[in-house]
Amino acid sequence: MSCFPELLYSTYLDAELSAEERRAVESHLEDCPRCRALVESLRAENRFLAAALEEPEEVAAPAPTRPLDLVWTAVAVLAAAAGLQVAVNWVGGASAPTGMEWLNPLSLSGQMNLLFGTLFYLVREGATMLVSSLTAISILVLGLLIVGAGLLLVRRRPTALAVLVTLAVMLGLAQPGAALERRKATNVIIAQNETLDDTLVAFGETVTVDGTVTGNLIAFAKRIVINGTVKGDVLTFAERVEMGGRVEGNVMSASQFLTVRGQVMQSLHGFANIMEVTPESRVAGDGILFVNVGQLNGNIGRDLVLMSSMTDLRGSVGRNVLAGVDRLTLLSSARVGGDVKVYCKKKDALHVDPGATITGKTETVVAKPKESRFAQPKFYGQQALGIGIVFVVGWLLYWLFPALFTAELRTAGDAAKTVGVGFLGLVATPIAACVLGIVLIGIGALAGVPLIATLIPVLAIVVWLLAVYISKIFVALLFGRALLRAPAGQPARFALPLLLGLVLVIVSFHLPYVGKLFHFLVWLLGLGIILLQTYRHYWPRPTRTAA
Amino acid sequence: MSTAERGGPDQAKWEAALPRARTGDAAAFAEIYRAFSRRVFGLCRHLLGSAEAAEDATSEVFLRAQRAMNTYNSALPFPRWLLSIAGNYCIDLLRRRRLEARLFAPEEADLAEPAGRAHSPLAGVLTEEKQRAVRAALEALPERYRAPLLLRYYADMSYEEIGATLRLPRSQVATLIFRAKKELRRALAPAEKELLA
Repeated sequence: MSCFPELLYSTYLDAELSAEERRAVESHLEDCPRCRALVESLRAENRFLAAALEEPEEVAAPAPTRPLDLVWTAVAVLAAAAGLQVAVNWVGGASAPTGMEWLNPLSLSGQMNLLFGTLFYLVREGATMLVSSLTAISILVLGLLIVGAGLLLVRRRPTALAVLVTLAVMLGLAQPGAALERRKATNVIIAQNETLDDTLVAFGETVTVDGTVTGNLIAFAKRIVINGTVKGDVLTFAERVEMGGRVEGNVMSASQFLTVRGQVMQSLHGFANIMEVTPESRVAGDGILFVNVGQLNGNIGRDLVLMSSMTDLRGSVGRNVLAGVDRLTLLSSARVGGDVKVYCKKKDALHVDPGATITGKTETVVAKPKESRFAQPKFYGQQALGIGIVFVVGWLLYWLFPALFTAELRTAGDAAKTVGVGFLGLVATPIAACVLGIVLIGIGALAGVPLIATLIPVLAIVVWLLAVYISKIFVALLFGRALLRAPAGQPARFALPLLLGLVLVIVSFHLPYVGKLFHFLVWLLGLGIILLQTYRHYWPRPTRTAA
Repeated sequence: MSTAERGGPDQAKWEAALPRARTGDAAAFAEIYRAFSRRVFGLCRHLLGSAEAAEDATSEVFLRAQRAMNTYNSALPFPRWLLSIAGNYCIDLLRRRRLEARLFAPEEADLAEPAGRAHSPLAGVLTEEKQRAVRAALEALPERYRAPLLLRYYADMSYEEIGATLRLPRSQVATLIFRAKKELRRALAPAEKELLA
């Protein structure tokens, strides 16, 4: 009998031959001293290999990792944050000429500018990009629903019928019915002699209504001018809104500048940086106004509710005035049919000129300078309760998703990456949800998106809020573990580090100057950890476990 | 007869802890961790090539093991079960690193060996120097050779298990292991001479 190849002997030594092959090999080995020697040397080699692979004692222990020194990092971050805060305060507080104030991105009007600029861009340009993709998505969703219903039809008839009927109803509802007109152009103009028998949804650089809209007007633009008539409600979102003409419903307006020259037959809800209500104007219902600087010279039929830093009232208010202001001046031409109640910080916030008429009582409520919250025992009770709740939530999460809690930041690069991912999650989610929401509601109806789909952005926001809430748990655990390192060779501990970390993190949130910035960083880091760990451990990917 | 079968000096300890660990007792699992973290870490480091990656992998492997603890049945020796989780996990990592599913492509059987060029099996007393040389040679091996060799002689897995991990037929495993050894011999031949000289 001839000798076997070496491969077979190797397999033989690994005890991987079939019984038959093994017998053949063994019987050959009895007769063949050369092969016997080979097998012996192979056996020795296996032993040699196993020994060589063994870990030598001193390098063996999985060296308890010394993660990036979180405590020192935190100190450095706090110091940097303090510096940044000082810089921000300096820029924010630096006195620029009032006329230039809108240029300062940190001032209120600067922020408003930025906000409107961004939102305007999103609405105008973002919508264009999204409409096409959303149409595709909605078709896809509908297609999936139809296919799903078809599949169900094969298996369970009543359910399928229900789905199909729902679908039909949805489609019916989602049809771009006769009562909605959408216009999008650089300048949307309803000319003087034009009458639009629909609700108008308008996007544009400017939206001008000189004619008549019999439904509601929903407008997003840089500038909105209404000189004609709107028989329904007006909902505007613009940098500058000029309301001449006549609105028979309510007005809801968010803008940087709001001018009311005409008539509003119901209530006016205004949110503006600068608002002017001209003498010839008339609001038949309530005026509910949040304005930075207001000039109220017209006539408000019922109550005026006002939040403002500085407002002059020259016109008339039919009933009560309820105001939270830094300064409210009733000039001599002002008339108030009811009471005036002012909430303010300083006693002289309300100034009434001798000629002004107030039929009811005048009351000024000066808010007491708040006692420092740190002096109130209630504050500590609340914080302790908050920590308790977060701790329980953390424990629950740990029990449900243990892998989420294995994050370690080894290097500054890790930390930077995590913070970057967190930033994306923190900023991108609400923006995406808002844009999606606007598009789904404003335009989606036209493209036949099922109503239920509008819940997606709401759901996304809810999940986002939850994630933001639990983000501190992960950061707290990281810090707690950095401080209370588990003895070498033991799995990382959970409860005590989490509790310690939570206390530290919550205390840090209340530090003067840097607390808010620190809170923000904790959000970023925590969200980053959540996102990365979810991706690492719970993202579906084909894996097999040996068990 | 690999060292994986020996549980080290702590064998009695972890064997006592095993039943409790299977019911989810965290303290008992900590005992298991103490007994095996070195071995798991070692396999991960051999397979992944860096201590840092191995540390990550080790903690992940124990996490997976803890979750799968209730599925462990004593038909398989516990060290082998644990190490095969580690092997599977690391191979998955390697695959993902390469973004290539066919990391461990089948090899044609090695029947016609080039005669005369074969090096004889490694042998001799394992000195520290020699061990270092073997490790270096091992590290230099391509992954498709290194992985099966380690899974066999470090993790003590069967050809069947190795085949499942590497997604190769069982017969290929034998070939790969055999080739790996020959590669190792070839790589070590000069060093061998030097050390023997």
